[in-house]
Amino acid sequence: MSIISQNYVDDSNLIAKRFASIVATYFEGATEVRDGSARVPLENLYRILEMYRFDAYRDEDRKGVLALHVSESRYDRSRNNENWQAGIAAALSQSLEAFYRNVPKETAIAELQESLRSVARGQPLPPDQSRKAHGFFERFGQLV
Amino acid sequence: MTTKAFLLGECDNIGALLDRTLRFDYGLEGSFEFYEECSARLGILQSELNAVDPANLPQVGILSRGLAELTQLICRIERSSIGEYSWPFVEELKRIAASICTEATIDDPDAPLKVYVLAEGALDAYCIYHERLRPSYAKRRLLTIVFPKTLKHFVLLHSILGHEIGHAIFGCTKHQATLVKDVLSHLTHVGGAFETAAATAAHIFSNTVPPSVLADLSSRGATEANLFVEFSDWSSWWEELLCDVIGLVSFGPAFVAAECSLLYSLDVTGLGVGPYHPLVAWRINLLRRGAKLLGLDLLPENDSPLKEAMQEFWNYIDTFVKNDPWCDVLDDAEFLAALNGAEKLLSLHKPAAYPPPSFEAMEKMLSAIHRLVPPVGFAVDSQGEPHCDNVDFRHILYVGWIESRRQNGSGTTFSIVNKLCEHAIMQQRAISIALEGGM
Repeated sequence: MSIISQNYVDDSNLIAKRFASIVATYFEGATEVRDGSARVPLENLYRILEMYRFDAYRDEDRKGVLALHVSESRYDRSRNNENWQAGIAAALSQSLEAFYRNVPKETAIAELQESLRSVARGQPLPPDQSRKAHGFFERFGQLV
Repeated sequence: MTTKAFLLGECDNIGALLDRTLRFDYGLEGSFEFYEECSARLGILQSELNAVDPANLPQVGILSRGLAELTQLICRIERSSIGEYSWPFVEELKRIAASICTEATIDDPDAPLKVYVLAEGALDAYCIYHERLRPSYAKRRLLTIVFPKTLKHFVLLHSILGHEIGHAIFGCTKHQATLVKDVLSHLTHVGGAFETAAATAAHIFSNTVPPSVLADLSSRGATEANLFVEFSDWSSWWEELLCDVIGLVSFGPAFVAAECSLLYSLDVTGLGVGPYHPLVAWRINLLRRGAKLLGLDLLPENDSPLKEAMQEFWNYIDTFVKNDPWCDVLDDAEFLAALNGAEKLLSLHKPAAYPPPSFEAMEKMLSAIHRLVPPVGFAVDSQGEPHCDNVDFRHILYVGWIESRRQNGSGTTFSIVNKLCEHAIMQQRAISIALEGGM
């Protein structure tokens, strides 16, 4: 028996919130963006956008193929909370509506992912694209 | 010492652990890429800890959990030792994973997941863990393949990892959408036992339920109304079925044989209602039917030792099938559509899909393994000239299973057949490299 047992806490929303606010600063020219660990928030937001693009959020935390008789405890049910993405998806939709109104979802996601790529590579963005991406991630971080 | 200060100290400890372990070469291809990934995770956690307000307890809690997960990951990778698993099989498995288990990253729309392998536990250790999609402190997601330590050389049983590849594929965002549309929609077809959780529960508690199943459920307080609320996770059940479908279309007959052997060795009646997996009897009946629907059980037309041996193999598989209609849960047409949907996706990512074998090649390989020679694409012709051919490792596994079931066999044990197949996979790789002009 370990010295402490804790209920699973899904940190998705809070991590997404924090990463969005960090990435928003990258569009303001933060120097940390060239640091290796700066890629972590960028890749996470890229991944979130990809899930949103395909509407694919199934993310089960699971046992192996033969783990037939694992614990039937109800305490760890929350690990597979199927609605973990609800807040994130809603915040993405609202932020898209605010900054990419009337732009098809696919086009808006592609532009945002391209913006993340440019920032990661230290490439300059057209001012309007940079402004919209900055606003989008800032708003997403506030909403999620 | 404040919690923040304590955790910053732990960052230093983790950095030292990382330097002592993954900086050096672990595994066949070294561990630098894991060192780099873990360093990035540690870097973001450390900078976040430096920046966090010590009074912001939710954020400090998240970082604490992030550090714990990172430490566990480093220790798992460190435990990974090439001497503890069948690396020829792993190399083939990695080729499949690299072709289809990809993720879109900033630099690459189809970046293969980084794979590491470890061996632990007993029979039920088989697993492929893919890190979760949801936000985390991971830059790139890692894939962990786990083998049972006791079955190091049992490559025939390793075919069961076809199911696990299924989970890893389903964990890839763009494939998930395709699989939901082309496979899951058929598995959960209207009017079927998997249309909804209520439909599955109704099937389980129908008048034809075996008495032993009903007695087991009743003794646990499970009812039709609460089964998928309190005891089992219906969405896990359909994901497991979907992964069985992928296992079948990726590994073929060897997958069916491995599932029959391993699942029934762990649930001997096949009728246990577990939390995350559908009943073993349902799964095995489905797989056998799927093999027939896909024509995997076709036999050569001419009378030959191969035909006889293949027939014996499928007769053996049939011994695991329960002749109870309650155990047959999907409509043939819908099930075939699901199989075709999975095959269509895997065929786009060679070598993920199981290729149909040639009976001529199978005959030669069966003859070889019967003489205790590893079954590979190599022969010396009547002129004394050597000939090499490409052979898919899954055909080696199929031949191995056939030989292991041969009625009037050479007396080779299952263990020896496995070792012959493991050697064959390794030798075939060398042959294939030579044929590609790599040597």
